Amino acid sequence: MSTTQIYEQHYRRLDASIPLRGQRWIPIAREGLKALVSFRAYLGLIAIAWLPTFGRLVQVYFTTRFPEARRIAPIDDKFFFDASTGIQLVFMLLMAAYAGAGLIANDMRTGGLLLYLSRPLTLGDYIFGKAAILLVSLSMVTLIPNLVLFLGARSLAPDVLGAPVHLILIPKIIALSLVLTLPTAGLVLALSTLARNPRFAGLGFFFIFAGSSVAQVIAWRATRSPYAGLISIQATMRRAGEAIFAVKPARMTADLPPELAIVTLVAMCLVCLAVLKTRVRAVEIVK
Amino acid sequence: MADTLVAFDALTVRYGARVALDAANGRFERGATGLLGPNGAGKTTLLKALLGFLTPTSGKIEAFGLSPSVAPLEVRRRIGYMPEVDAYLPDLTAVQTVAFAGELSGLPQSESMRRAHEVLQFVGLGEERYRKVETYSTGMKQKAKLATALVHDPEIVLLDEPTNGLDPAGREEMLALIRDIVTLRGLSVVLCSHLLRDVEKVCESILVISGGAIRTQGRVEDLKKLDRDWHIVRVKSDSDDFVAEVRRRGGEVVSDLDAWRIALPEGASVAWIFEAAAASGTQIRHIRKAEDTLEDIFLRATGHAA
Repeated sequence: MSTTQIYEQHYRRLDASIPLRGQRWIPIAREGLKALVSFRAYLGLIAIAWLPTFGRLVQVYFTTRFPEARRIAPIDDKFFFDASTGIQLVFMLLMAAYAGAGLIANDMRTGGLLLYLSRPLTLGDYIFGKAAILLVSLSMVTLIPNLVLFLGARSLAPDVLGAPVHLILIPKIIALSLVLTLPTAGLVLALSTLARNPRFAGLGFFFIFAGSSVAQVIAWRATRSPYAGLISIQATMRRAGEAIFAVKPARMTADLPPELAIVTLVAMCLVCLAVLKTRVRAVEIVK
Repeated sequence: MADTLVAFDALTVRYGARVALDAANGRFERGATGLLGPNGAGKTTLLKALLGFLTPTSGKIEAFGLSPSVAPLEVRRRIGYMPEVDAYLPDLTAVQTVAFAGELSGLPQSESMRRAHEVLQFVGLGEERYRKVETYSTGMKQKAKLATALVHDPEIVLLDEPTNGLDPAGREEMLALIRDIVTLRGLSVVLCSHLLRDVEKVCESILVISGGAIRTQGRVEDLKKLDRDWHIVRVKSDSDDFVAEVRRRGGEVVSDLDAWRIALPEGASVAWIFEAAAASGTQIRHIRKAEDTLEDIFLRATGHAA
């Protein structure tokens, strides 16, 4: 009878060396999304976030049945702009906090960061993989519902949206989605590196988002300057979106140059990237 | 040299004003090497410089002829790292964690899953592999970390305090696994520890690091050999006359617990001790050739020798 320990039968050397393949961020994104999908709250949030889209499709259907309703609720660029920036923005914030706050914070808390960074991965692979999880999640409550809304509305009301000229709405929806999701993803990931507890990162995210809007209102009332809009992340995103959809701007930011809003959002993304680059490291230096 | 996997030369690493590695020179050869040193000596810093996590302030470090600062991915592809601290992914089972680590190292998805099952069997977690790692005991977490370090079949495995927090049985099991990796599987291992017994059980070579510098290095059996011919001698009853006689004849004597450690004069044989005993009327009860222990080597290297 063999006295070989059982474990000795189960380890073998690999025959060939492993090539250094690219796209190492894909397994990170895939595993992260798989983990999120296993939570009912995540799926529930997506399901609820789609309700306004179905509501708007019903609205489009009614306007096809009662054309006079178009005068009250026209199916135009503003219809799609409002669909992206109204209640959908709230769902986007909830999704960002739920799906994003723990993405890096949990890895830092459990030492998972070492598991990643001791592998043949670049810092970019790690950050891009994590960002992809969040961008896909955010797109599920912004980009995808809005594209579905456009395609659904186009098929329901071909007399209104059927002309090829309306296809320009697709890149507009995509551009607005990027304006909304990229800075949001950057901010929540940066906060995730600063707090080991995902709850603090999520709360910090809401505080910054809501707090900046409150600060904008106070600053605007005090100065009446349109540049006060730059204080608010939401107002800045909205101003950039208004320019993309060429809709009438909001009163407080009507005179804010949209280019400045876009530059501000880009700067915010760069600051978030710098925070990520500084904080995501395999060595914690205790001074 | 073909057997040198890692070499570092005048390697200096600073954390701000603090010097963690101070012009350290050394090499890790094929086989099992113990990296010994007190807490804060610079052991983990050396491993992190090797993995490319830290950029040397000056000097150089090379693994497989490559600089970790220049080609970190190629170096990490060939290294398995078992960190001292916990390293797991929340909500993932052991098999998912290990398979994921394999994929991050470049294994195809199906192959990394197969390897994950194999290495978890190998480290003795076969029955527990579908449990979440965060629910594991300390010993099981250590084994899961070892499995994660092995999944991509590295050429060298860096083990940072692998027996930390383990009970005696768990410790023996871990050391047996490490020995197995080296002797039966042909992998090289760097065992980073402050526990001399662990290193002695597994490693054929050691590097002693203290204050950020390598104090001594070499094969354990070579380092244990003494520069002079020492013997441990235990005598019956009063030994003062015997000690005086040895000194009068030119030998060196130091106390060693309940015995004497005697260095023979140049060219003398063991018969010289019996002659000294006969001359002093002392009866010898025990005599053996002295050899340094790893503890002696360590204490001498770190400047704490008696």
